[in-house]
Amino acid sequence: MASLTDVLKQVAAQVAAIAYPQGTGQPSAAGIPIRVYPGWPIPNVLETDLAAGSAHISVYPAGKDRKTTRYLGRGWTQLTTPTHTVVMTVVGSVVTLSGTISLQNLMINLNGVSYVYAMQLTDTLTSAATALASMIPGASSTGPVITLTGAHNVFARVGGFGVAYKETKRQEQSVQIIVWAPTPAARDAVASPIDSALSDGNSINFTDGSYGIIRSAGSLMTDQLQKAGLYRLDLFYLIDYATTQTMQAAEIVAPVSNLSTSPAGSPVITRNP
Amino acid sequence: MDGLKLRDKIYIGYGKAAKRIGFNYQQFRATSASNPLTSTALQTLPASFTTNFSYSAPNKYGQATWLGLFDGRTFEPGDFLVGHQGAFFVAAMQDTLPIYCVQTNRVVSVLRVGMDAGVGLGGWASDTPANEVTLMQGWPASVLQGTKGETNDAKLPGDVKTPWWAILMPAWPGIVLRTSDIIRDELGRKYVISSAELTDMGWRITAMQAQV
Repeated sequence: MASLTDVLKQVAAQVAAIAYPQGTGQPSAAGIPIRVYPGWPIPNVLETDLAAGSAHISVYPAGKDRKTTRYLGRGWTQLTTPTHTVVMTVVGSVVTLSGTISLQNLMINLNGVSYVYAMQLTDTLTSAATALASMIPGASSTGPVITLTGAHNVFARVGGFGVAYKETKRQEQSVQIIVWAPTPAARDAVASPIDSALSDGNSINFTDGSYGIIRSAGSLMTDQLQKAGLYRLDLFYLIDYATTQTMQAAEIVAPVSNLSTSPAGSPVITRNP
Repeated sequence: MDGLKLRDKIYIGYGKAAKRIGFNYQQFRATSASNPLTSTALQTLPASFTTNFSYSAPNKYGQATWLGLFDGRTFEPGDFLVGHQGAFFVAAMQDTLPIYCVQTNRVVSVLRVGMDAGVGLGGWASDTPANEVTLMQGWPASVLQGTKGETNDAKLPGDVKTPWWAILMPAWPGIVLRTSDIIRDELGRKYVISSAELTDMGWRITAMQAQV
């Protein structure tokens, strides 16, 4: 789920990527060593680094967030699609399993009745075929091949598991990206590429698959701390992000339908029990 | 007679006096920055501690310092004496003057908050026990009440002022304490150093207790 911590980590990661466009093995865009992290600087480390000519960039929320929920409903959005690793081939009344083992639901519908087996990671194709055949009256299996009896209508389906998420609320949080630099020149060299890159574009994606909107909200420079050899610049960004829930969803392989005709008292007909 | 000879004679005199009025103490000398009292004792000798040489006044609350009466010829400032009245460390052995000792009441460790090494993206920068690097461990120290208190940052309804403490402890070469370093004692209390004064008598520290 996207939380405020996720937002800060994501912003810190993006800032680090801008500060070190060639990777941390190469010099930073500013030409001086830079640490980037969520949270606040540790005094002794900051002091030592400033004296050595390095800069810090810390990322932290600035104040309280603002509610931006728009009552759009709370529908689920598919994040990852299910994958099928097992293939079930139907030829006449013979069903053959092939492919590789993973968590799947294997379904054989024989003459209108569904039989589902949840494959385990410890299964083999043969053991899954054996388990499935044992559920079906009159069926037998040899290796990964299931032979049905009395079949006039047979089909098979493989169902996987996907991930879906839904937004429970949205909010806009001001985040301050604070540059702690040893000189005014170093401060400018560190902050300029970051402000330039972050303000170019409005979308930010989070690890749970949800997306946010990022907008610049000004900056604040202070030389008040020059007595301690510290030059500070705060870049403020407003980030509209969603609080989310995620769930693992099983693919539907055996829909069950209950049919009833309109007059009261009519029998309910269930298909694919 | 010269200063050196005179000092030795004074210390021999202290030793003779301690033999009659003192109790047995063990002498320890730190060999590393951790656990100075776990090393092998250098010697056992009689020692007596007093507030003045007329033995006419008790040591009072808030007073960590004593005059040490023992044969100091094999001692150095920073050595420990552990025995009948607890653990003392030798703060100063000034020429021809009485030996200045500090009674300890806590065993402390000094720690410093660290950060992820290297440049680029780091983890959450914060003071957690996992981020604290030990500088000195297991040192007897005097931790006595300081002068004032500060409003607790948590501002809980049940909060009162957070106390300041005066801490005296020997110095270990190469370790320079600084503001914001952390001291933890065996009672589980955590102190954050506000000022750390280093003299030939060791560290004199003002620290604020950190608590919720």
